[in-house]
Amino acid sequence: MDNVKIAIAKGRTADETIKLLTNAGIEFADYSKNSRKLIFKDTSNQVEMILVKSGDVAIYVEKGAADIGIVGKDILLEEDADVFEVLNLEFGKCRMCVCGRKDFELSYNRKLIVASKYPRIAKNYFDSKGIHCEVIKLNGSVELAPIIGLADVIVDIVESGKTLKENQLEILKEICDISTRLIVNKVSLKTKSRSIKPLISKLGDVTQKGVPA
Amino acid sequence: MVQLKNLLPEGVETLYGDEYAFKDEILNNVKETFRLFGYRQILTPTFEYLDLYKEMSGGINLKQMVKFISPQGDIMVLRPDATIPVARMAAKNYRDRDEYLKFFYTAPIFRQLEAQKGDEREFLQAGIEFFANPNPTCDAEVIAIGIKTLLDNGVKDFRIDLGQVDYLGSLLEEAEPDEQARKRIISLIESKNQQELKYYLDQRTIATHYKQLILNIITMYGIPEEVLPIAKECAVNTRMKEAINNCEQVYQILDDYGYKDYIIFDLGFTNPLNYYTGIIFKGYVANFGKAILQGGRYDQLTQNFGTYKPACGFGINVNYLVEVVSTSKSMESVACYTDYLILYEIKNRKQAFEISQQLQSKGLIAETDELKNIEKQIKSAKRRNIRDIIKIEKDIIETVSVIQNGKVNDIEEIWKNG
Repeated sequence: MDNVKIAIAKGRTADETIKLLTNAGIEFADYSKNSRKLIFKDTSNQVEMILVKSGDVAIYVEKGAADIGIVGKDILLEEDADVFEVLNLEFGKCRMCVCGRKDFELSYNRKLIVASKYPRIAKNYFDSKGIHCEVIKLNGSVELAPIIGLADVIVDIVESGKTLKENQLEILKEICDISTRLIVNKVSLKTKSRSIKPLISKLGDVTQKGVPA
Repeated sequence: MVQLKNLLPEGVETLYGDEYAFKDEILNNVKETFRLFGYRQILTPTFEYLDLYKEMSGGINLKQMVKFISPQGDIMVLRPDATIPVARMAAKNYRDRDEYLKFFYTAPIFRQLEAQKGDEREFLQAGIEFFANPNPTCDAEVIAIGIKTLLDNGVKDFRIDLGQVDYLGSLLEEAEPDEQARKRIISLIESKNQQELKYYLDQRTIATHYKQLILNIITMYGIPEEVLPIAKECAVNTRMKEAINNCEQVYQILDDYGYKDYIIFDLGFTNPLNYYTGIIFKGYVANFGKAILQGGRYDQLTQNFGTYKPACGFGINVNYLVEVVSTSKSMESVACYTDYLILYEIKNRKQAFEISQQLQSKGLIAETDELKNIEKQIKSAKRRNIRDIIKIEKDIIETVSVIQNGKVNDIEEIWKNG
């Protein structure tokens, strides 16, 4: 059997991802939350897992440095990755939204300033609506932008809406639903199909049963 | 302050010495394979009018073309694709003829790809184009040459993935009248995104039996024995049936070439270069994450230039091929070297040049230089992979072996004869 390299995102969804893999029978004995290690071998020695920043999962898989990746749909949309997106893993669910102050009113007379960690998604969305906008790329605490006056609105993922509420912002428009996806390199699926196909179906089965939280 | 003159633009490279020789040897192998199948070399211009590419049915993303403006105010592009200019040549120069045309080219391709993704914006492509043959034998020959090209370069663990654009194309034309929706469906199939495809199809008013067929196509990939029977069963219109027959025929011919085991099928894959009309294919090498070669049949392309010449061809990314070959083959066999360095005192200069000419006439690589500091010169000779030094000092010729190559005798012979 071919060895399979799987890239997973550090942070928010890492624990759930590990749980999912464990349920599918892929166990990483030396993984622990606080470890600084970035590469792990599974107990069967068939699967190697690398931990990367969530925004980088797609490029690792697209370039074939990893065969498989587990990453949020937000990253896939933003990176416009050329990969196979074979499964919706149904966790890490949230929504991509346009948010702003309660009293925000859209004016077609001047250009809209949008702040976002997701400039491509933001631009594509407003372009598709025919709204002229300028996107400012931010790296975090995006909620500040409309409050301080850096931008009119923000485009960001909303999970519970708590952060928005605490900053007196609200959802103005929902762009799309986001959840974690299983992606596969376009060549690996064909050249390592004997290892990868069973892995996909196992992960599919586990997902359908639902991952115990 | 960073000075741009000291930097290379993103996505290009310089290549010299051993690395260049290594690439050149691979390129020569590729050209030799093409030549042995009767293909003849063609050169097309490095830059063309943007209109050549813009007005083609389908084609390359305009944003990815490297453009500049000619002094006359026309927008020009650096060759973003090799097939279209070759097709124009075949259509224009051979408009009154009907014999087979078999061309090959090696040419740099330029693409203004997204920054900071490690993509090459200039890469060498080699390829063949076979015109005026609409038969599956032509498709199979082109694919077989692709396989032979990899084999001749020592690549063994690879697969050729075959698809047929008309299979999915004709189904969608029948099932979904809206072109935008068709594009969306194709892109979901292309990314094998079954769940989102299902969701999308449910929103459209497409007949249920079509929906199921479209969904099935996502999973129609793998070895021919598994894929082809299912695909045949799912073929609901004449064009789909013809498409799958076409796949079978090409596969049978490839079997006769002895290349059956390299073939897999994927009826859900398309190509962003949508001038393809029939068989399309990609070549994958084990543990290399990108398609190394791709091609297919494009029967309509020449019609843009007023002639109908059905055709099939493929291109191989030579940069990728070099990457793949270098993982299994060392550069030693092509390492650059010099046989002899002749160091002379000024009064022996004429003699030194005579010796070097005699060595060169025997096919040996010979360099000359004035004798200065012999220790320093030996050291530098070692670094440059010079094998022997011939020293002419006070009319005495002696050899200093830098890297023993057992050829020292040549000198004595030449000296005797001279």
